[in-house]
Amino acid sequence: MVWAAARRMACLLGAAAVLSALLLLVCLSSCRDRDTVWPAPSPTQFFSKSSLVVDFFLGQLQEAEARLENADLTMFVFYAPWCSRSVEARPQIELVARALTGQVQVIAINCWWIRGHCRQRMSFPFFPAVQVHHRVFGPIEYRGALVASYLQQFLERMLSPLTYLPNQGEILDFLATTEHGVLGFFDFQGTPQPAGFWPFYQAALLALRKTDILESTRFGIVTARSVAAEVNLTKPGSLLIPRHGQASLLYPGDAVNMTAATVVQWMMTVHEETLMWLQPSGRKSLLLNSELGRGPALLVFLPKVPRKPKSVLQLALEEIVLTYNDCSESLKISRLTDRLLQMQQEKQQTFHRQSTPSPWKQEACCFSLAGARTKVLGPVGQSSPRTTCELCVSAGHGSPRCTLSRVPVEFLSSLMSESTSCSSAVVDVYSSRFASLYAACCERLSANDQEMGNQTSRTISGFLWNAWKAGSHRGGRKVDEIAAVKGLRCRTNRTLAFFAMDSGLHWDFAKRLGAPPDPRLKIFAAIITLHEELHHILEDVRRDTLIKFVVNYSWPHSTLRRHRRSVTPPQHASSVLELTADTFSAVVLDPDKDVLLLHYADWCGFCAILTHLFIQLATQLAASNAGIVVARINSDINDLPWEFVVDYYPTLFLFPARRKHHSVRYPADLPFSLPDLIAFILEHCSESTRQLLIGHNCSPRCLEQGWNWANMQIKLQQLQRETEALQETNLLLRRSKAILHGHLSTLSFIRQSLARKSRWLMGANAGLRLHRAQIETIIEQKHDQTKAAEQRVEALHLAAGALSVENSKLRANVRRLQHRLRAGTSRG
Amino acid sequence: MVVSRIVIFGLVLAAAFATGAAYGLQTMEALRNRVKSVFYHAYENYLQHAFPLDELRPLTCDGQDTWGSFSLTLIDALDTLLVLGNTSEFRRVSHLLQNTIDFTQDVNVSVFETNIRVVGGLLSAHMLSKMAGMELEPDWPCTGPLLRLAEDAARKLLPAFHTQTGMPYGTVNLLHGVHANETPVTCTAGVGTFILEFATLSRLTGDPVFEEAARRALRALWESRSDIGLVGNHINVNNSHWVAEDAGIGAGVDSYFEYLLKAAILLQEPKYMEMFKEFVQVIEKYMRHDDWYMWVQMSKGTVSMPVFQSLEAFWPGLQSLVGDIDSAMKTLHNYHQVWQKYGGLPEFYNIPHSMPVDKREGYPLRPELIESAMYLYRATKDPFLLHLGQDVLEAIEKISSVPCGHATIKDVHDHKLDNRMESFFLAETTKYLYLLFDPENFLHNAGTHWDSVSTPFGPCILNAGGYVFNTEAHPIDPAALYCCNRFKEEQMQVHTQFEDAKRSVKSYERRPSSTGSDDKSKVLDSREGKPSRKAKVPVMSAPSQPYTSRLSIMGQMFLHKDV
Repeated sequence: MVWAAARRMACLLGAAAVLSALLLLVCLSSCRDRDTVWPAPSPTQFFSKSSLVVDFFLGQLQEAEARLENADLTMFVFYAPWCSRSVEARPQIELVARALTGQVQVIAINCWWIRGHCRQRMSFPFFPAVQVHHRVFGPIEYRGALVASYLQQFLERMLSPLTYLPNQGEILDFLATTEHGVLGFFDFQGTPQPAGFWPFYQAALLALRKTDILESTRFGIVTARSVAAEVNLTKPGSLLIPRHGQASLLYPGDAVNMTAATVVQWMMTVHEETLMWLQPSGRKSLLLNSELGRGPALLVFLPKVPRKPKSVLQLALEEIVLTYNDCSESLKISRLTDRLLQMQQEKQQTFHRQSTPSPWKQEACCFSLAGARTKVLGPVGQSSPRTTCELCVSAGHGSPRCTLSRVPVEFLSSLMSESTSCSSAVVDVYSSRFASLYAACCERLSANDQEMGNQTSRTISGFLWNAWKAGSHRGGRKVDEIAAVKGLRCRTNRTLAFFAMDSGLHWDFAKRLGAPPDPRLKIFAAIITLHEELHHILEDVRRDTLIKFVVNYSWPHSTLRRHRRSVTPPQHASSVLELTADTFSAVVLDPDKDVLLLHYADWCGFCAILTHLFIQLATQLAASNAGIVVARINSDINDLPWEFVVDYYPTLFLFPARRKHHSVRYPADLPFSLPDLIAFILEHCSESTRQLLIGHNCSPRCLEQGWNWANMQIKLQQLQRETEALQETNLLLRRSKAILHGHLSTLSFIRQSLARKSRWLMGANAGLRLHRAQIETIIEQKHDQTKAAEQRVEALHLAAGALSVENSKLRANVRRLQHRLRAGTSRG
Repeated sequence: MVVSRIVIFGLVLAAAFATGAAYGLQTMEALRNRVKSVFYHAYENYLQHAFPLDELRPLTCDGQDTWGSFSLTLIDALDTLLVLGNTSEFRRVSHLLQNTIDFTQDVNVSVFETNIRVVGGLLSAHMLSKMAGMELEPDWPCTGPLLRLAEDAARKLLPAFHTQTGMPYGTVNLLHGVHANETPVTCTAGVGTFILEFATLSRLTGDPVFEEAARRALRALWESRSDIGLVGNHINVNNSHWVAEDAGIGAGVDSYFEYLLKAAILLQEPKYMEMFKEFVQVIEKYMRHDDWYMWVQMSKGTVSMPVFQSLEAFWPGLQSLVGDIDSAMKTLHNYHQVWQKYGGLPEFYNIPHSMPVDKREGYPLRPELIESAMYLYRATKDPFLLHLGQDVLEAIEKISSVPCGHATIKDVHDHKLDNRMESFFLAETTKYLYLLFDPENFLHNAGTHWDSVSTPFGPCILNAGGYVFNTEAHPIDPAALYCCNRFKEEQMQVHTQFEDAKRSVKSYERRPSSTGSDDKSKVLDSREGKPSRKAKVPVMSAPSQPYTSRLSIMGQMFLHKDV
């Protein structure tokens, strides 16, 4: 506040004052730092100035409302500048404003700006909110997609809510191409505003407010008694809902007491189910739940192009739906379906020749009485079915515009029957004092005009004639194809409901059912049975394939196979093998391999936490070379056969080699830890794998080796991927991989044999060592013996010496004794 | 043949008419770039005007200390830099913090905030430093300068846990410990929001003191729940008496539930999962009305405040982790409606009156809504969530952007701005936004790439994904905890297992596991008193999704016949 006030003040004061104000400001802000608050800045222009949208960016609702009188239709766009959806809608709204210049005025109002009048008076749960004000009927809220084509169609329907049906052919086209329709017969001959017309007109506007089935309801108006009689409308002011499968319904009330609300109410209660367009709004809703929940449903995704003629496929789909529901083989329906088929063929022809601009697109034959605003012209000459006439609309201030771009069927017949006179040229007029005056009229052609008309006709006739011939020619064949669905609704006990979605807006749903993410053509179909939790898909959607699809489904033993999603995970290098629904059985059910399989989901907290553990496990197991496969599958996006579906994540299974049916689930009460996992594997894996695992008891050192081995494996995998990417080098790399593999196995073989040899050598060495030791002992013994002998010799020697001393002593003694003896004898 | 070709041509034409194919959504790359510029606008202004203070004041272009005095915004924003791919700035700031932060200062701090922002931020930065290309110590991730800083900070918080119940005080002085006159009243979240950081700290450093303190506090809180199983808002840590008896999932309680679940996941602790499940049951029973969660009286379960709080928007994200996705989406749609109305989530929003509560109309650029959107996008890939992200981004750019950063919205009615930019704007809001628009980000890694460290017991896997975010969006790598804590033991066990197996090749018997958590889960089971006969669903598991989940996008909801 302080800031803003100060800033505003600074603008007013002179240069000297600025300085002092700033000083004051600095003081204030430093004193009251904590309270510094900025108000939101004043809004600026939101729509570009060059656009045709009037932008009241200060929320001037009163000024905007004052402009309501300027046009029959005013579109109010209430936006908030911070809202991304308002930003997204901006260019679309500018497009519409440009396209409908002069017919609709487009006003945008910033309904967020707190000081704006709009914000003070209105409140919206979200932005942008779009309201269309009809000068007479007031506002109608637009709830459809904020896309220019949708919006423009809505506005155009508000401009002319009634479709004028001058003859039988138009009625046929109207019925054939409208999902839901109401016909009203009003006689304008006596009065410009016949009884019941006003409520009927209002009901047509009221129906636009609804987003459900009524939104696609079209209102047709017949003014010629003879034409009305053909659809069983005899009394002026009577309404009829033509129903294809059942008897058509007349509005029960009296034209005098008819109100818009009762008409709409009546339509809601009796509408017939045919093809229904589903338009999820993006907000919380139970639309699919309630529509698909009722039973099997065929859901077709195709581009819906509002305001453009229907595509061939859409016409074909409508034809199929009608035929499917035609239980009584009614003439009515076959006439409609014939017409639909014919239109498909026409379109194909048109497209075939689109390089040459078709003359009848130029709307050359529009003859209007521009001044006939209030004049009601009576029919000139009782309208014959051969009348060729154009309807022209003088839309008030605008220049006359031709709304009919198609030549009535009768035109064809008139051409064919060679009565090419274009002279009787008036059907009818209806007018209303509401909205700009619609004057439909035709005038008698002058000679000059007639010539021109004929010229045009001739160009048209040549072209259309071919189309017609081609159409009727093919008409004979179509019976074969479509006959299969005729009245199928009543012949099968797997009755389908039919739905369509605009693939331009709702392709995300198709993707969820198995359609490719970003195809060239966004066309796709699926039969969904919610309660059986399955669906079938059709990717190549054409008239014939669609018929076959429906027929196949309806058989008691349907040949259609349940669609199973299979999502290829992001490529990665890991010892944990990532599986999809497609690769599942080949790996898991491989009889030669023990497979450890983890079911997980991306969102599952308990699964994500185990990732590192499984990589650790897989790496260590890979090191053991036991051939056990550690795999995982994201079962949240991959649909497996029923028998493999799990109820919770994470779920771990072991599929032992050769005993696949004895798969074991990891115990629920066991935590996921490396020892527990290994114990689980050792207990349940095949015997051979177990031997290999145990044989390879891994010390930390060996783990290191295993690690290197696993790393090598990963590098190999990377190599493989590059191979796939580069088709040129594909073969080469694969070969080198094979060679590498060969080398690897030779290496490991060599390593093994080396190990074996070294083991053998060790053994031999040990033997030798033993031998040497023995010899050494022997030598030692011998040495000892020698020593002992020497000692003995020594001892003997010593003994000998002692003996000789003794001997000499004895000898001396003997000598002495002898001497004594001798001396004794001499004495004695 | 000719006909079919024509049909195809016709279809081409029809397809060409279809407007608005990529309906209203910018490309992910464009959105990411917008988030980046939002982040850097705020980040650079913080560095220029506020560093080394805690927070930037974007209106006055200066800074202030708020939760302490340790460059809080910088610590908090550190791992977001890495999420945005800016490794060089991450390295620069890591070194800067190592040299400047000092926790030995005489300052009173909130135990809760310091834990989630400072300890959490530092731990996360420590665990991500290999990815950022920092130089590592040999024993990393079990040592490291940032880890020591985190440990230092956490140690300063420990005195707060010395209470009779084990529940911590709300405030502690980093130098002197708990003040003598400190109030013993703490909010529930202030008691139950430690286990992630403290267990991580204990398991990385090997010092169990942190984890024990956090566990003790959790246990005390669990035992204080009311008869119907609810916890209130504020409790007296000395006698376990409830001071504020409003029970809800928002302010004051929120991260307690979050940490129960995330601790169960991170620590593989079934006990905490059982607790969480019991809480979910009573929350659904008493608080949930039309996919809103209201505040109730903790002992009776009657609605006391029919209010939605901005902080509660984390709940759907939490639900997605346990597979309650359907219910999460319904709730998130409700919250998004409020956003669409105001361009922000008011702190309090009165549900029956459909308007912000008086004096609580601010939106400080909180991350919870976008956090849930990120989790749910991971689960559903629903484009609605990208639209939601785009809504949030647009509003932040248009409303809160000022020349010196991004300012708190003071009032969602008129978008007045306040002179504050909370650190969680850079830590969480921008991070979750970026992660929403970047499904290939390393933090979304689901095991497609990984890293390893060499240990004496062989290489240990790291950075393989499964990151658990703390309540301030700081990711914790579960593998780092494993490598520093259980890896050695488990390798030894495996080794002996094989040895045993070799010795008794013939009759091999599975050795029962020796992990403690297994026994604890059994104890809890017996407490329930009814052993289930049918195929047992593990406590630590999430249910698979129903068939209709594939069509449950763009607001489409399906009703389920509950079994």
